[in-house]
Amino acid sequence: MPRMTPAAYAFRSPLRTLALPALLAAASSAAAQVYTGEDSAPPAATPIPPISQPSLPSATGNRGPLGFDLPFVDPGSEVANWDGKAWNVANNRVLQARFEKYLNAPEDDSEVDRAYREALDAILAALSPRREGGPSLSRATALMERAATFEIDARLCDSLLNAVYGVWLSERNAFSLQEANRELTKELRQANWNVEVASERSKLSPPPRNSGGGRRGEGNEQEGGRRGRQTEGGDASTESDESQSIREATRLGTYLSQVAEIHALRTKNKAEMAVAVFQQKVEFQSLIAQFFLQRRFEHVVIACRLYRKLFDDGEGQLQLEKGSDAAKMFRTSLGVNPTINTLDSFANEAIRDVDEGVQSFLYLVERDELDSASKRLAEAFAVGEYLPRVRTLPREQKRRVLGFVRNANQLLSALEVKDYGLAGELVERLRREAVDFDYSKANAAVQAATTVSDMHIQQALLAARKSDDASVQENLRKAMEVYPTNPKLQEISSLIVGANDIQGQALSDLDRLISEGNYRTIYKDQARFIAASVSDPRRQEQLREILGNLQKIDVGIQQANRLAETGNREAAWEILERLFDEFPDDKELSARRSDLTTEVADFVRTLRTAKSLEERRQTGSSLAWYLRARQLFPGSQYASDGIHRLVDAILPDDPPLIGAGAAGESSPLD
Amino acid sequence: MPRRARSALSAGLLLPVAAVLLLLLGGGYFGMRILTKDRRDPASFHGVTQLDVNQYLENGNSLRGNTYQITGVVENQLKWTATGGRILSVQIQGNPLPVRIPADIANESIQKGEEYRFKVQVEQDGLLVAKTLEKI
Repeated sequence: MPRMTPAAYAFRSPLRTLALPALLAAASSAAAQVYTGEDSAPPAATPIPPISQPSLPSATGNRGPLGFDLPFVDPGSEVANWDGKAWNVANNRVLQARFEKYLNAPEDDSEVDRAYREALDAILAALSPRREGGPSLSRATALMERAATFEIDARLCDSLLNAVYGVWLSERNAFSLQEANRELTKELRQANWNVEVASERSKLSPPPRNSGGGRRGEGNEQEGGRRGRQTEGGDASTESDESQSIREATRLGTYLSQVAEIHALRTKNKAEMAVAVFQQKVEFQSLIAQFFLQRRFEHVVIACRLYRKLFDDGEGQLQLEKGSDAAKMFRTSLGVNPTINTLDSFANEAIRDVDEGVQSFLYLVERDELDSASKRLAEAFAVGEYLPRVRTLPREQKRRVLGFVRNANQLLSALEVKDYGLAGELVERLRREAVDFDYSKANAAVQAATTVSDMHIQQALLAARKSDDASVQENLRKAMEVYPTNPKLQEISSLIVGANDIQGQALSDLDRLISEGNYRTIYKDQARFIAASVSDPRRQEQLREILGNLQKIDVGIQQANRLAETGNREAAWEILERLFDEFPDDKELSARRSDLTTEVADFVRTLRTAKSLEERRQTGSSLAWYLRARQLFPGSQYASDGIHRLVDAILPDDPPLIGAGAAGESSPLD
Repeated sequence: MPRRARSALSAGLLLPVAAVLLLLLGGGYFGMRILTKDRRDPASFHGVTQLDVNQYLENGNSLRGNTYQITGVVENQLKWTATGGRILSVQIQGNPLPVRIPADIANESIQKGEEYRFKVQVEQDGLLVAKTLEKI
């Protein structure tokens, strides 16, 4: 989803072309203050798209006054480059923070601010071409000295004064050089005359009597010297002529050398004057460009007017580094090389645009269209942060959109970290606050992410029911990637983890209860243990046996109770006694058996005596007691079993014979 | 003056006396014969003591080797085999006692619910084994 901070909307205004340099300034200002590289870059979740500018400046490249050290903004990608770093200006914490700080700041409406504004207006008036008597540089500089004392000016007027002073110094230096050149010109004339005189002397001297070969190549001076010496007669006269010629030639050479030196000095002075003027122009232009990039548009206008006053040669073209970003920027937007007038008009247009933006903001705020209002104000702030129209905007008006801007910034952060729950809440809040808030994109992003994440969670749940751990993990991972803070993710995680805990606890309890023989507790909480041991065949078998036995006991107890209620207590006791033989540890069974034992004590004592005698091999007596027990309760299974057991021991069966009668109680008895 | 003994018993007096003596001697003989005969008869209940049922119920083994007579109603037959005889449940003084009837006497007619007198011997493991019985 594209990020649309209020600041980002500044790129989308009709004045995009005009605002571009201002945004450059905004980026430059922000970067110059806090941007420290990777730490200030946007989070890794939203990587900055690669920069496609072919002439991306390098941090170590050529650094002219308007060279490669300028920030560069690509409006298409909303990515700014500066000093080898790149970041997204539409989602920049610094810009958001600056705007919020501005919204909270009180308006500049104090006496000091008003005095400063009046000083700037006075400076502009003093430099205005429409001023009666023409622009007054001296008055302007005097007012600038006063304006520089205000804190809000940041001593920019002082910088401007220094630039003007530099120009004056340069002009004074040029004047000195001009004076020097004048003196040099006089000296040159003198030197030229000397050369001419020296040349004439050489012509008046008699020619040499014999002209030796092989020395012609030494020059006129030597030749003249020889001629001079030849005029003094004889050998001595000849030598004297030659010496004379040599002296004249030497003098002439000296004069010629002086002429050459004077020419060189004059040329040097002329070059210094030209360079000094050019250097001052470049420095002044750099200062204007700096003001422009700092969005100090009023200072740009003042500086442009000062420039025209100081450099009245008509040369106003900006000296931009060839191939630099600044040169490209102006050339692509204007089609021509920028001039001082270009910056002047840009600054005036920016001031007008900011005024219009603030007026639009005030109108939109009155209509509760806070979304558009915040965008218009952000645009105005981004361009004209230091303009009076922005600085004097009442805080109460600004705070009308502060809440909306904060929520909008928080919405962007929430979407960036994929906290769609918070994003959804913020969207609803913004809809209530601003009637013109376009929630469609944010809403679509929230719903899409929530739906996808929920689908993965459902798949994870299905996989969990199938005990497909790999699928559970995969779907949970996908759900978390799409919507990390999905509340359902937390729920299912708790559910799965909780289920695992419950299952583990239940199985642990089951093992403990089995080891304790506390089967009744297992029986009472059988649903929990059955659910926990679903995937554990061993425990399932244990549980099945335990529950089957306890069910058998309970059925026996219930049967015994019914028999006891009908007066058949011996039969009831026998049922419980048989169960007790099998399950002696069951407390309920034991208790009920004890109760019935008391009720049928005689019968029980008879049986136990029979059993005791049987164990002591008192067969006759034991059998008598069993018979007595059966007499007490004819249906006694214990008695019947005992009787049969003993009788068979006393009287074993005959071996089976064909045709023989069967043994038993039904044998012949008359 | 002494009387002169009557020297001559009349024949008529001697004969009755002799007859009485003979009768007495003959009766004594037969009496002795009868008494001697009862004591030597195993089927005789003469001189056989009654079984102390309670003592038997408490510890039958302590009575092993003794012969007793019991009188009771045949309550039930617990088991019968052709070679081993039968085991009866005999109700004696309100207590059902098991009595084994060996095969040699088992063929005697015994009916359920009738009262019999048994001459029993306490054998191994305190079991009552009938030596003879008679219907009362």
